[in-house]
Amino acid sequence: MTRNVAITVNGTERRASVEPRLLLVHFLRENAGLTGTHIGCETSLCGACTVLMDGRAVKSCTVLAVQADGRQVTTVEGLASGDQLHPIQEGFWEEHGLQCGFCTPGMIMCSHDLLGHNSNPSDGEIREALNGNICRCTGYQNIVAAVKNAARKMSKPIAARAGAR
Amino acid sequence: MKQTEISSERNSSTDAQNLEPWTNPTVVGKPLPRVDGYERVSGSAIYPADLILPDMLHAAILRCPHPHAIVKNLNTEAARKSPGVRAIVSSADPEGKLVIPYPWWVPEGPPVLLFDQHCRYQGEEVAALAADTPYQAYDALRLMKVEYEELSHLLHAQDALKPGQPLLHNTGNLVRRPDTYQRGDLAKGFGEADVLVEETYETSCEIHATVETHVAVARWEGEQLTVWVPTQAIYEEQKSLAATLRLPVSSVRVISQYVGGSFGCKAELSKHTLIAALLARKTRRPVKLALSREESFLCAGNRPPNVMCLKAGAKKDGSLTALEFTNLGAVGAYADWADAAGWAAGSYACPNIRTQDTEVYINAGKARAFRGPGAAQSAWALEQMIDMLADKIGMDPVEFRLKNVPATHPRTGEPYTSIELRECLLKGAEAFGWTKARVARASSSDPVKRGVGVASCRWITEGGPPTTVIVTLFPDGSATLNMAAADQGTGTKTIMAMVVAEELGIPLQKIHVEHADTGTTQYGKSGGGSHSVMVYAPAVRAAAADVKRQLLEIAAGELKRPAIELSLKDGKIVPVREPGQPKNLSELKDLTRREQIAGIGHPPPEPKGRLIASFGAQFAEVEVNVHTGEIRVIRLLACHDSGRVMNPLTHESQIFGGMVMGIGFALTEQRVLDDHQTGRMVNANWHDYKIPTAKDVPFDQLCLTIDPKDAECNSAGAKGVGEIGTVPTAPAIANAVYHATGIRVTQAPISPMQMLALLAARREAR
Amino acid sequence: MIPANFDYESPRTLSEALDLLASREDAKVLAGGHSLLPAMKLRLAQPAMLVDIGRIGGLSYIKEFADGIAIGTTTTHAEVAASEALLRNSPLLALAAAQIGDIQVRNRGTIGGSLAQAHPAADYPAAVLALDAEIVAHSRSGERVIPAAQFFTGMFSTALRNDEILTEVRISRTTGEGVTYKKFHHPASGYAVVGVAVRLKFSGSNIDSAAVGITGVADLAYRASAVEIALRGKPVSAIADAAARAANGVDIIGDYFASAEYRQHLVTVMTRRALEEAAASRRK
Repeated sequence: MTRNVAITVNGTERRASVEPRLLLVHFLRENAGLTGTHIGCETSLCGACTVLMDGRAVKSCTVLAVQADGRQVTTVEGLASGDQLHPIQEGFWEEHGLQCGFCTPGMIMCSHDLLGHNSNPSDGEIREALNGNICRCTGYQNIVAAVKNAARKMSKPIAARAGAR
Repeated sequence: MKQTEISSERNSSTDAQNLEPWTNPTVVGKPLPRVDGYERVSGSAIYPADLILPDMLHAAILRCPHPHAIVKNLNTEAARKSPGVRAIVSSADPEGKLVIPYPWWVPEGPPVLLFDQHCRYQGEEVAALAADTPYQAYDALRLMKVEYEELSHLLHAQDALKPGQPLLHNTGNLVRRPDTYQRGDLAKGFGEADVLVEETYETSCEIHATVETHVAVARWEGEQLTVWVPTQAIYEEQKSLAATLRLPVSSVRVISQYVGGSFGCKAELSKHTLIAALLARKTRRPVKLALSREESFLCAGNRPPNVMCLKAGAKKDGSLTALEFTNLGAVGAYADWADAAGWAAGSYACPNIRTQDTEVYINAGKARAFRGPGAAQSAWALEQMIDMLADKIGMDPVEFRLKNVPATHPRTGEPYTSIELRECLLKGAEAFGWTKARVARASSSDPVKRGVGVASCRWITEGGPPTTVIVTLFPDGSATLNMAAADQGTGTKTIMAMVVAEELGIPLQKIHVEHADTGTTQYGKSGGGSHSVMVYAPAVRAAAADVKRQLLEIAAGELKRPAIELSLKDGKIVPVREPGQPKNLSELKDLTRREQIAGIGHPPPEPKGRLIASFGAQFAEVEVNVHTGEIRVIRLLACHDSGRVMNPLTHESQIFGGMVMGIGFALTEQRVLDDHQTGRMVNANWHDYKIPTAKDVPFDQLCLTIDPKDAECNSAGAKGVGEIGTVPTAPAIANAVYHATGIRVTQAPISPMQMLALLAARREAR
Repeated sequence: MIPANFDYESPRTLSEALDLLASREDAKVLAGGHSLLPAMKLRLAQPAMLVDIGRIGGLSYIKEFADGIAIGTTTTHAEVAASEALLRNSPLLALAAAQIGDIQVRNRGTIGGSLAQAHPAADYPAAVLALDAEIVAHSRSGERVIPAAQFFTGMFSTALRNDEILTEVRISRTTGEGVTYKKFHHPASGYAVVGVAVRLKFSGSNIDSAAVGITGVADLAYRASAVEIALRGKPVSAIADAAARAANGVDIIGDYFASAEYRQHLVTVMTRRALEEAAASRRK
């Protein structure tokens, strides 16, 4: 009835015995206690539960924990290094790319996927990339600004970023 | 030097509770990022759904699948034996007969039983259970056996008062006596008109659809109940829970530190919160109950649908002579508001008006306040009507509106503390390039037609008591702000921290905000109706000013100077005459001895004989593809008078968010009930119910503001912005569609199918 | 929104997977899960066992061979959309894949999973029909090649047997042809209200032959043969008339977003747009 899984979440291997039907989002929230990944619809539509699996954005409500066995999962909690937020997180904060913040982790993780293969996206490319993420508060303007802000920062060498702070 | 002058000016205000608005603030009005931004971008914010308490159980609710049915028999035996199940509540329990009180803004209505055997809407609560895991709860729910007797259902307001229709309540299907308002002489007004227009408008039921669904976590410690629930109104929930459970108010603690969006749907006690509390009491374990997306579509509130019949007249010079506005709204299965007509009576200077609002019950989930409640639906009709009149007399729609801007509130005759509607229209039109855009039209062979439209808006706000806020200053220069206000995403925490920073001259980073917890904060009004800034900014400022007064008195004693010659800057005491010799707070021995200074603030009463309202005008540009009926909004510009803009970032974000919600209202959002057969909602999910996403909204959005320097509204000079941003967007879009195509679309949303049918009908008519 | 319990196996080889599949009547194949898991959450599907083929090596690939290109069953939509080999030699599948769902869905959903589900408004069916693709299935008794035209048998139903696993899609090169996929997205779900996949072969300035696959309009995707016949040997100016036949003989579905009448209209408009775009793409 249950299966053993070992999922590396934010660099830490987490072993558990789970029902095969356990969704990855529930594994992350209930088993791993990482509640930054939110649940908005459970039907792979709203994107609030977006995490990275082997580096690519996926909706964790539509992945079984057993499918993630042996894989690398990154949640919003895994982006910062210590107290230093990831440039995408900084972008969302600085540009006010959020209101209630509930969709924000999913938006950030999806933006991470986008910026991973397009370091300087246009407005249109950002909007297209975030089409699978619903925000009911912001009207998206500042979310687009946040991704651009992050793209600018990420295109600079790390040393220059640190110096600017 | 300037700073010193301002500070001494501020010091001259002796009454901390009655301050003049700042003349030249240094923190307030700046585009500062959110003080709680770190929590929200790092994933460390704990929303109620994120709480994990030791031994916590998970609950789920069994809901009636029919819009109208009687529960004939309920068998919970198999569910009770299902693995992990710890408790069940249903109509078989005495608790099932508990009556949920209506919130204060709904004066009366038929009793709302927790588990009513007469189910009046799809999704009505029938039973609930708690189990060790959410999966076990979900499984066990499916083992409950219910025998329903299906009743015929009523889905449309237009049918509700016809004979032979199902009656939802013993009192009938009418919610309350129709509300009628009249001024002047309607017949005379129509007689004076050079042009008359008549039209019927309809709006659809729109769902709040916050990304966070409703959720409650309940825990009992002895007879003390603590509930974590995302809500705009902790004290409303506390009072209602205490009343329902017959507990002293002091035995109920409601905490709401993170709210994943609300827009009005999280401001009253919901059944699921009570259910979580009951199951937690039965099991003596904490219980979490999170609604699914489908549940939130069915029974967590909505903007009710309206049918609005209007007749209006105007003279050739553009002055309105008469308006008749009759609205029929469907509140759902229990009492709430579905008004719209009354709002129109206060919009424009029109001497002869009659409005009537009739509200009825239907077999569907109950309405709740939804951003610009009533006003948004009213604007859909009235703002299109204004365009029809302007069109008929050949006047520009902006000019027509300017012509009818009221000097005072048209309904009460009271003056506004400030009204910059005229400026909003003029500045907005200028920035939008209105005059040019009205002329430029696509060539007739192009299937994509472009058009522009405008609509204006007004939202009455109010602040005032009762609310209590405490600001505490410590000798190290840090401060705590303690207030009841929740922050449903609007930035209330940030703005109120900015008020403290402004008043005490200490950096934002040194201010901790402790809020939205009936156990630790003082009574405060709920955050709704754009009232947060109106209620809390003056209260917070008063509390901070109280701290400052006490601090300067202490400093005056130690420095042997009159308090009036001292000011507070960068967390230090600065003698006005010797600004080069500041003194750290930690150097004040009396302060160190006292450990802290606590200041208490209340919002002063509202100005007498004056109304406070925010105003705005929005401009939309659309493209209509006449081959498919698709409509794309390609540009939106807003110009708003919200009084002082406390923080341009949060203000602008409210407007952008409101406008995008308006796009949904205008073009895509609609609760669809199965008319033909089941009466059930057929699109209770995001695969079918369309919320605009980043790709659907214009890249080109701009928010301009008018700062009227309102010295009368309150000590912050701010009038609020949350509701108004969505009110004019949909009619501005509809007016733009008319400009593009010559077709007046009266029914929201303007789906491609509807648009195409209207285009085809016109072709046939020609 | 929680699926019913099931047994789960994640074999490492295809033959193991086929054995498992044959061992249980009510077993189902799990690839990316983006078609099956939503159905299981709604309990529309309640398989007793899932055979996860996601860990079988060698099922995710895009390979060129002499007669065309072969795509392995667990190749994701994102991989199909970005494939240089496809975009260069036979772009139709890639164009369709790029319009499926969103980034997250394309990162997980697979071509095999989507085809096997046979959603009436999915994008791939229109493309594989227009391409005359071969759909390869394996069972313990070996390989079976199913022509796309015979693969879809109804709404959510295919020619696949219970003991078969869809392993590969083979398509031919479309070099020199005008090719495109045009889609009218359902605003919310992103599925096709109408999706039109077009291949145009030219002889001189005339259309030599056309292949038009249409999805979203009927219970199952279909080839619009009336359109194809109307275009054979005709100049590009015949497109508008031909497009009007896009739903000839088809039982058009209707829902509250798009009635049958509106869909009928849309399919004409979208077919015309697709044909015009395909013709233009070839001329480039």
